[in-house]
Amino acid sequence: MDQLPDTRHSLLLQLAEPANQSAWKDFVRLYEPVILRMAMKKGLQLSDAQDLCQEVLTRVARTAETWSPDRDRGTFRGWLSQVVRNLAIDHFRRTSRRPIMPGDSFVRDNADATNGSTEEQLFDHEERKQIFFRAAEVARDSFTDKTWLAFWQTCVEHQSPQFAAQQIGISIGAVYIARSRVIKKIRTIVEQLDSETGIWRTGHAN
Amino acid sequence: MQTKHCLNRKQIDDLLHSEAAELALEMEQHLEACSSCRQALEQVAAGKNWWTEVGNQLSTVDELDRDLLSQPVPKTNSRLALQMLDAPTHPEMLGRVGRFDVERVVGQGGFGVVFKGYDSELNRAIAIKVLSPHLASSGVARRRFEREAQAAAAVNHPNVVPIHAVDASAEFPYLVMSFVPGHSLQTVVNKSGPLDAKSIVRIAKQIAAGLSAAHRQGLVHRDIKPANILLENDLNRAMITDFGLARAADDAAMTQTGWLAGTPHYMSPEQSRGEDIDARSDLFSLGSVMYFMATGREPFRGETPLAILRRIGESKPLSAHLINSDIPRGLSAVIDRCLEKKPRDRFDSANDVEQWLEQYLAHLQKPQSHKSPKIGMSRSMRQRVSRWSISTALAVGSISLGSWWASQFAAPSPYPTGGVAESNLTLPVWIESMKAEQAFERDMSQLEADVRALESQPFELPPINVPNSNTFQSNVSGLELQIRELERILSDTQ
Repeated sequence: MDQLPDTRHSLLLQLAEPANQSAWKDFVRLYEPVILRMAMKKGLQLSDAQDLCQEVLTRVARTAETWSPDRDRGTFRGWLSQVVRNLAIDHFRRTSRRPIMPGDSFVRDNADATNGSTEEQLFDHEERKQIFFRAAEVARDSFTDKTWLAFWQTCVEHQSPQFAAQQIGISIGAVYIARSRVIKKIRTIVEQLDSETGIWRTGHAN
Repeated sequence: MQTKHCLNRKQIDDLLHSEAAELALEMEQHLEACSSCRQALEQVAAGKNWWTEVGNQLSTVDELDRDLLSQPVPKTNSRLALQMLDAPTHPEMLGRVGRFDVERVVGQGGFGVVFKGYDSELNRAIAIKVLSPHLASSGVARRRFEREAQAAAAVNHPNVVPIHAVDASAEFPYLVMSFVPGHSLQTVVNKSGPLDAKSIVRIAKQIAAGLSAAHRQGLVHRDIKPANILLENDLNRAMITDFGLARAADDAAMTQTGWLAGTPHYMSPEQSRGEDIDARSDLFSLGSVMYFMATGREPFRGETPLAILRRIGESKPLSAHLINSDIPRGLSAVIDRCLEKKPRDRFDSANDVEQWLEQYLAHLQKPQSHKSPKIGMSRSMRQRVSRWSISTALAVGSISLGSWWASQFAAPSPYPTGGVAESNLTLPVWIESMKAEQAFERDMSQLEADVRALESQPFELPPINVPNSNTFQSNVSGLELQIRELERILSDTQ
């Protein structure tokens, strides 16, 4: 904690650029839940998971100093995504290599084994879920109540368009239009987020 | 007819972009009938994989998040909200309030709109509450907003969401507070049902602690309800928000509509009658919140706000442990105590509630080493008991006087003489004393009934049939001793 002001200071210097600043904010909003959920799936308690999350983000922030737009092609956010991915995966690899302690849950180990999820897969899985969640959250702001409900009830809750139309009080045709509009919006946002994070993922052998 | 024709690509593109609903009406009808046009529309919107993945991803996000996301953002507020903001400096932002960037609308209360924002100077997430236009135009509400917000800003306690800044002179007055990640108690209980006893006590204790700090500053919350309790990271820390804002909102709502805004479920009886309230009103609301945590429902429910208010004033809810058998009686009793109709019958202060809950939490965690703290009688109950004992004493006093007087002149006692030494206790004597005791009990219950009848008018004694015997008299003096003892205990506890 003592080092935090320093970190913050240098981060602020690095983030003086408004574009980077907002990228960092978006970044934290996107990745904090990813790391948290990943940690909790790895069996950490919430408070430990939060500590870990803090640690990883602090390290990311510290590394942020080394970013320069000239040397590194691509966006600041894309680069950050790669850093957090490496740091998080690295961290979990180290912690999972510890000896088995009495009281460790073998059920959980087995569950991990059956999922076959490596750290990379787990991170990518949580990241993807979070991207969709963020995209839906952002998209929701630009639609009317009825449009959003039509989408949610049919695409997420898998109600029939007939049922949703009756529930919401719109025509069945309107349900089709509404959900198509929402899907299109979500797709656009996800694609944008993907393009910003994806550059760094490809060609980076881990 | 246009509706018979299938849609061309341009029409589909327009449908996906345009917000003009009336143009779409004919196409809606067509789409309902024509499956190939539906397929075309959905294909243009996004490929099949997208439809599947969006559904899969969103239906598997955490339950609480999913629940929040399933609800549309209230649009009237969003439009209202945009009115309140200055133009954004970044395209990704919604707008600005003062020097703060606003990212999005996170909620809406009786007083205005809540935004999530970012303080770029201090590099932290914030929540900005902006007073709604209808309140901002009311001078009274504005002044009160300022006064209360400043008072609230002076409360510095881990269980009260800190207020960083207040600007009451802006076109739409606002206050800036910490952004608490997590959900409100309302959301958590709605989603996961009643909480377990330990969680209830832990959360309630923190609310009481926060209230206590505010009450010490002379600040009454007035709107304690589950939606105003934020659970940081869901269960770790409870924080009270919206101190004092209820009053500013009430003022304007009252003057505009003559009626109160918002849900009245958690109001205190005195509040529901529009009377002056003090800190103990918050204790009632805290009791309602505890009841909600314990049972998953509000203690006072009704079809209309008026019906709810009437129940708050008149009816007593079923104790929490009778609804949820997992709730221990001690906890249930404390909830009942907070829900007493008269403020003086509740706890005296939030601090008292906190202390009690703290001891109770220790008891729940280690029942072997920590006793459950006692919950005494309410003040009214104590008074009823002591009034009863005084009138009993009065009655008994006059009875003993009368019986003494009677014993000087009257016929022999209907009971055998008391005070038989144990060594002399022969069978006939014992039978006699048994009979005497039965007779005494009969007389006593009659007396008790008479005294009860007296309770309302303690100074007008109706004629009492005074039993006349030594046994009676010696028992009466025993009773008098007990009454004095009881009074002593009562005065100790008061």
